[in-house]
Formats: sequence, structure tokens, C-alpha cells
Amino acid sequence: MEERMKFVEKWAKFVCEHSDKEWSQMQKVLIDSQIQNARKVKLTKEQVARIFKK
Amino acid sequence: MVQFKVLDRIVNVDKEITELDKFTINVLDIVKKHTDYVIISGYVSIFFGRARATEDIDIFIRKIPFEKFKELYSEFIQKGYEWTIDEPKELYENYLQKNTPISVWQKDFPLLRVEIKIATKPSQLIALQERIIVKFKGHELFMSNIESQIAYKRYIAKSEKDLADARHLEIAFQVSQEKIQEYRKLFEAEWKKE
Repeated sequence: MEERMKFVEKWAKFVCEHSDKEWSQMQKVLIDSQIQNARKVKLTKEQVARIFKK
Repeated sequence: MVQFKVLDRIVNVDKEITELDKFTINVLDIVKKHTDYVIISGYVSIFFGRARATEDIDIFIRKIPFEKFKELYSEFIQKGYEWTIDEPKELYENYLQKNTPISVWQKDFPLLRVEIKIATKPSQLIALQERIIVKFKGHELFMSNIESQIAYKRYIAKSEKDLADARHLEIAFQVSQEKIQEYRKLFEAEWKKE
């Protein structure tokens, strides 16, 4: 937990010390790759209903 | 060190746009045509740089009558989205009105959703009233006040993820510790009542 928090603090400082363009290019890679991977999971309508619908 | 600054409730951001941002903007551009909203929770920290993703964007909306909700519901359907359940009346009466969150997502991609709740508690109504305007790529996003986010995550939610989100915001923004403590008192008083 302490180590993770140290990373969070270091990264937040990096965000402050660099331009929005610079930090966001790195963040974009992380976020977009997760979403692209999630898109590969093809759920059927029945699965969606089971997970999210009453 | 250059932190984000909220000036007259406005923050200008010139970052790269992510898939998460695009989805959020598309959904909220529809929501704002029908009612006021405020983004709360993880997406606020992520938008301002936190190195993590999320699968849901939580928002509070102002109470709306059914007819207005139906228009909101229909516009999403027309534009290729799906809702928690297909019947708007049931969604409104059995979920929204009963303070159960409802979700909307792009058809066939429910792994990324916007979760909607009506603001009812004083702290939630204050979140709407004191929302900040984030100007980004020609759009406006309405987000919770940063001090309020930090107080909620640090003193109420308190999971490892929430504590990290709070710490990120505290470093990335110029914040008032006094305001954080004011919001803390508000949240704690509400939680004690429950």
C-alpha cells in the first residue's frame, strides 16, 4: 500500500511538472489499451442482461 | 511545479483525448440537453491525470419529471445506446425514483458505462450547485468540486483506490485544506444519520 501510494505521488508530481500534452500521451496509452482490450470481449445480449439488467 | 487551477469555477485542460474521454463527452453532451449533471468519483481523478482506467463514470443529475426523462431516454436509444432496462417508465419509477443508479452504454459495449443517480442528499445537491466547468476540446464537462472529491474519497469511501485518487488530486490541484475539512464534516454528518 505504501509503495503504491509513493508511485501515485510520484506520478501526480510528474503530471504537475510536465505539459498536459506530455503526461496525457502516456496516460492515453494506458487507458486506450484497456478499453480496446475490453472491446474484444464480445458479450451476447443474454450475457449483458444477466450482468446489468434486472 | 504547475498544478491545475480552478479560476471562477473554470479549469482549462489541453490534454490528449482518450477513448474514455470521448465516451464520457458523447454521453454527457446528451445528458446536459435534458438536465443538470455533475461527475463524481474516479473519472474526476482520471481526467486530471491519475494513471488508471475505470469502467464506470458516476454522475448525479437534478430531479426531472418522467416526460423529460423519457426524452433523455429516447435520445440515447436513437443514438445507439442501451439502458439498464428497456422500459423507460419502469426505469424511472423503480430505479431512478428509488435512488437506485441506472446505467447507459454504447450498444454491445456494456463494459464502459455512465451510472446515473438523482441528487437527493444535501451533499449531492451541493455537488451540483458547486460543480466546476472543465473546458476541454471545445466541450464543457461539469465535475465535482475538487475539495469535495478529496474529502469524500479520503474520509468516507476510503478504499485503497479512493485514497490514491484523493492523494493524486491533492497534489495535482491547488486545494484548500480548510474546504476539505468543511466537506468532511458535511459527509460525516450525513453518513452518521444513515
